[in-house]
Amino acid sequence: MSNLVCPVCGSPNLTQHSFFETISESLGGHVQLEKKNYICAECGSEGDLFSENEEAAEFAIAKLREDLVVSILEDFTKNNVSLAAIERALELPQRTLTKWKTKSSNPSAAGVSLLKFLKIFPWLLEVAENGFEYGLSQKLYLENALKTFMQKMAFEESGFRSAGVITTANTTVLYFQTQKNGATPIFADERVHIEARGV
Amino acid sequence: MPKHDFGAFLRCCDKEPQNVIILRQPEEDGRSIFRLPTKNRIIQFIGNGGLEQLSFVNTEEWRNNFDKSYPLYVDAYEFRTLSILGYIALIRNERLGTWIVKSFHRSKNDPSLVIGGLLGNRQN
Repeated sequence: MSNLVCPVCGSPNLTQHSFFETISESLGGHVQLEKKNYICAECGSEGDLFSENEEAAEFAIAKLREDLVVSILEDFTKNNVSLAAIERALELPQRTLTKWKTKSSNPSAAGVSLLKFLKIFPWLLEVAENGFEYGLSQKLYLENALKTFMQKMAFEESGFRSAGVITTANTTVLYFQTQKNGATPIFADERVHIEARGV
Repeated sequence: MPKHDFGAFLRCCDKEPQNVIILRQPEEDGRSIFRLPTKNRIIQFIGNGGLEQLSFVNTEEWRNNFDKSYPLYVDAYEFRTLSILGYIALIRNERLGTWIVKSFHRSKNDPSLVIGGLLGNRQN
C-alpha cells in the first residue's frame, strides 16, 4: 500500500478493508461478492479507487446471467414450449437455445434481455410467430393486458374501489364491480362489462 | 460557468478510463438507479454519450479537499437518459490527471421523485 495515493486528493493516507456486497441479477438470483474498499483519511473519499473489483464483479454477473438463462429455458420446457419452436419463431439459428441451456455457448447481453422479455411477456412469442404484424401484435397485447387485469385486480379486498376510470389521451375505460349470486366467478372474462369510449 | 472542460471528461471516459475514478456511492447508485452494474460500465456509458440533454447546474469548491493551497472544484450537471433525469458531479485533479465522479444519481428535479413522493413511494 506504500505506493498508493488517493487518486482524488493525492494523499498517501489510505486504509483498505474488505466488505461483502450483494450482486443481483434481475429475474435471477444473487451472490455475495467480497470487495476491496479504500478510504482516504484526508479527504474521506471512499471506493474501489484502483479498480481491483471489476473483474470479479463482471465474472459474478456473468455467472448469474448464465444461471438465469438456464432457468428461463427450463421454465419454457416445463411448460411444453420447445426450444426448437422458440428458435423458429424468433428466427434464431437452430440449437442456439440448447447451447445456451447446456452452457456450451453464452448468450450476449442482447440475448439475455430477449429471454427476460419472453419470461415476463411469453405472449411475445406469438407476436414473433405471426411475423410481428402490427395489428395482430396490438390485439395480443390488449388481450393479455385485459386478462392480467382481470386476474390481478383484488376485487374482493376491502378498500378496493368498486368503480373507477382508467383514461388515456384517446380512450376512457369505466369499470365497476357488481354482485352476483352463485358460485361462478364474477369476473370471468366474458362476464365483465367494460365500457370504453373515445374522449 | 463550469470550472472544467466536460468534453475532456468525455474523452477521458472514452480513451483513458483508468483515469476516471468512481467513488463508492456513485458506483452503488449507478447499479441501483441506472442499471450499470460495474464502474467500467458507468464509464463506458458516459463515454458513449449516455448523458443526454446535459445541463450545467453549478460549480462549487470541494469542501473535503485537505490541501487548501490547491483548491479542487466540483462541477455539477443534470442529464437525461430515457425516463430518468439524472445528476452527475465531477472533480478534476489536474496534478494527478484524474477525473472523479463524486455523485451519480437521480436529480432532485426528476418528476418521478415528485410523483413517487406524492404517492408515498420510496424512490432511489
